Amino acid sequence: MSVLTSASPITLHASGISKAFTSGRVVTPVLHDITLAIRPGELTLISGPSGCGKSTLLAILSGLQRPDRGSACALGQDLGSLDARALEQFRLRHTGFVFQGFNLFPALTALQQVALPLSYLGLPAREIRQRAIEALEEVGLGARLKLRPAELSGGEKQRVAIARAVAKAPELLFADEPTSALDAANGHIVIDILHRIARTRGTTVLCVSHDPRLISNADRVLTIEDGRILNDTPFPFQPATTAGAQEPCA
Amino acid sequence: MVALARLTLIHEWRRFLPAIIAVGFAGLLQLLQAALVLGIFGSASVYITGSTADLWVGYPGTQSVNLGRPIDAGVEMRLRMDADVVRVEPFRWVDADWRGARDTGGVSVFVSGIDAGPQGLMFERVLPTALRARLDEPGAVIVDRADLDSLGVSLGDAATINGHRVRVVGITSGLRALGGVNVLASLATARQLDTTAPADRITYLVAKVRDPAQAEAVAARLGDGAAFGSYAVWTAQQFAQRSQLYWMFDTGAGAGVLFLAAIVFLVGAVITSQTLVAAVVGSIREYATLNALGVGVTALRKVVMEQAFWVGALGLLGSSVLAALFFALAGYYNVPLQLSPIAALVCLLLSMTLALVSGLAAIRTLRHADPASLLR
Repeated sequence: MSVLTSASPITLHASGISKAFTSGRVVTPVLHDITLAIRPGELTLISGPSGCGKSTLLAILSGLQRPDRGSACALGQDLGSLDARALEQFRLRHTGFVFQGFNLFPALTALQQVALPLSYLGLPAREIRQRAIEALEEVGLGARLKLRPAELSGGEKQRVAIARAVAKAPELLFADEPTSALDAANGHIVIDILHRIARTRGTTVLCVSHDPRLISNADRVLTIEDGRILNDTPFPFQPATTAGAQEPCA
Repeated sequence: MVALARLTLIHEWRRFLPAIIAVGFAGLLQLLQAALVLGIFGSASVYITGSTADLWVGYPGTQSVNLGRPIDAGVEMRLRMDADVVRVEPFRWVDADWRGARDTGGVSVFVSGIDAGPQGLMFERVLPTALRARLDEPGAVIVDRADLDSLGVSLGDAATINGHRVRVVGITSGLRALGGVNVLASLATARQLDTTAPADRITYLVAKVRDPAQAEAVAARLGDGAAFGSYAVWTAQQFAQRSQLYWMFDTGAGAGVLFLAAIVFLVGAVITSQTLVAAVVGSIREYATLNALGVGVTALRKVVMEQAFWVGALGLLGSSVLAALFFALAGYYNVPLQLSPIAALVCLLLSMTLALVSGLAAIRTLRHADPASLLR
């Protein structure tokens, strides 16, 4: 299945990133001088205890936040050089997001949820529908196109959210705790889908989680603690034999 | 294109209902108020708008028809001398006291003494020729159908005005007045009822000109002379406007109405904007997700404005239907409602503005749709 190797070009690159949050007179440093490179075709996992800065790192690498120091490069584009509008355009064309809360519009059917962001790409209606259906079929919801969030289970909602994120065929897919709100079976389905997207499409999948199930399925795990990278472990593509990697997770 | 605004509106209609009702009632109130104001204050100039005279001649500075002072009857000669004037007739206004057949006490009435001839200009629009001719009978009067009760008479009954005996010979409609009851009589009858008037003086003279488009020029020309004492000449349109503006602003009634309209607008805007804000807040995480996926803030604002537009459109549909019902009801009860298409359009536009202003207020809430806040 895997066609991409570690020799693939870098798609996400962070160099010397630092970030601190200020609350009143208290300055809380979150990230310290982080440098890393992430390759496509892999499911890369950022793991660590809560408050360690992993979500902030994801926000900076995806262009949702700017670092105080250092620079973030995505697909060869320095995100710091883009203004707010250009960043929106960049995200529209190149990135997908999956969040812990599924954030689906209660009024829309699964098909409409997925078609909505596509319609802002300026595609013809027929192609929007086609791509939305394909994305939903890819996550196993081909029979659930007409259902609204209230009629879907938690796992199905997250799959709709994934379909919404990948229907644009983004080169970069960011996921923040995508399995935390799901039971074991649904969590596993979601992990498999994310992994498959990385493998088959060559998408760069960057995932933040402290879910041990995800760690055992990732191609590479970055462990962060106190704003620094503690560990960078590349795993072979053998999900079943990597159970020992659960340790870094607090 | 997925119609997010409309689908959300339909799916969460309970959430939007207060805003729709607020816009609807604001629209309904504006419509009814405008119609009442136009109807009631329009009745202040019914003497002018109900007549076909092009020119009105009266005491200088007269603010409203009901405030006329006598002018020299000789002015009539001055008017007749002008080549563009084709017809002149006097109009006598008498403030009088009415006692009906049934016990109604004294009723304050405005007696309009008019030319009862078939060519008469006064009240030509509300008075059929046959009915007008009956005024020739001494002591004959015509009243509005809606005033019969307050006057305590029916057709054919006798009554007294200022102690003189009169008889109701006809009933018409469209004569309801502000502040009193209109009674039509012939010039001769009115002269008899007006106990204080000197013989050679008359309240107004009205005239018809050859070319109504030239009325303004003729009025200016006739107003120049000073040979017959003080008098002023207005075109019918000027004088009608003068009367209506007097009632609307100098009496304080108009200010009250405008104040009420402003309150209605304000309350409607507060309810509508709060409802829309709540709708945006309710979907803030979804909006933030869309923004994360690259859907621009401008596009999200458009969704909110589209919701505001539909709230406005549905509200206005409701107010139009209700207003139509109220108008039918008012017509049945002879309530003077009058609404020109332009006034109706202004009211509806005002209510739509209300909805859109509320939408603009709700848009500001979208700044909380920060995708970074979704990452915890």
